[in-house]
Amino acid sequence: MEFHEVVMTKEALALGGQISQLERLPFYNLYSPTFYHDPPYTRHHTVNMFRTAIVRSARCAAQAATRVQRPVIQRAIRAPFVQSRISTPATAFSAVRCYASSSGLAQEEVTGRIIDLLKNFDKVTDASKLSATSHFTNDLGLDSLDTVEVVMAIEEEFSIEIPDKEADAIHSVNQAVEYILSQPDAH
Amino acid sequence: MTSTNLRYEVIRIYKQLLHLGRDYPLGYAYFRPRLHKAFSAKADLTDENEIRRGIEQAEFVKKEIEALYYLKRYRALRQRYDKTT
Repeated sequence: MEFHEVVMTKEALALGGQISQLERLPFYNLYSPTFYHDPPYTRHHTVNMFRTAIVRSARCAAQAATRVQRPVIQRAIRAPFVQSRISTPATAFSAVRCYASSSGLAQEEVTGRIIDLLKNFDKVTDASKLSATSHFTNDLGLDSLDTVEVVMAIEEEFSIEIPDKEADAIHSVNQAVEYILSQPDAH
Repeated sequence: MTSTNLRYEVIRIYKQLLHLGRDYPLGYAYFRPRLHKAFSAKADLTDENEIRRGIEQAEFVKKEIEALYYLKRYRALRQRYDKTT
């Protein structure tokens, strides 16, 4: 947390105080995948964000090309902005490309990852009852709030967003596995 | 139908509070059991208006936590940049 704060502030200074609205939001780690699970920022927003950044950088580059005869001082001032705008979308864009690749998760792997996740969940005291078919409430003794937490943890583990209705229908390990396998963008 | 909608609303605010609690100054391990207790204390509410009141209370707590974070951030930045104090 501290680290990102410092980095972001330094970047902001380097940009001459040109912090975007998104970066100005406090106490959110923009680099963590969990941030994008939170409404109102969904993955679509981030893709759009990168798209506008790319369009903007392209426009900047075009403008720079046409205005070659601009005074030296003005060019020197503009230079860092153009550079920073181009450098960020380049890395961000490759991250988006990674998202597009299909995962093809095997059922055993999904089950193993969910069971590991439940093992680390401190409310699950009896690890011996943990299996591929265990029911969250009946076998593991979790209440509905704990189930919500488990579903949240599953969302993070597989970097997907589970809608309310589907999340409410997940009550056991194999239901969760089924749901994950039916999602093409889970990984 | 309204009861399921209310249920989703409660779950939504619970999730939002959990997300906020990750950066709680006293730690997530402090925050989470207390949040859980606060929600399960109202688990037996059946009256729609009472549940709505509970959700409003949760919204209020959410705003309080946000304000706490803003204050914490303000203090941290001030400490770093303000040489006079």
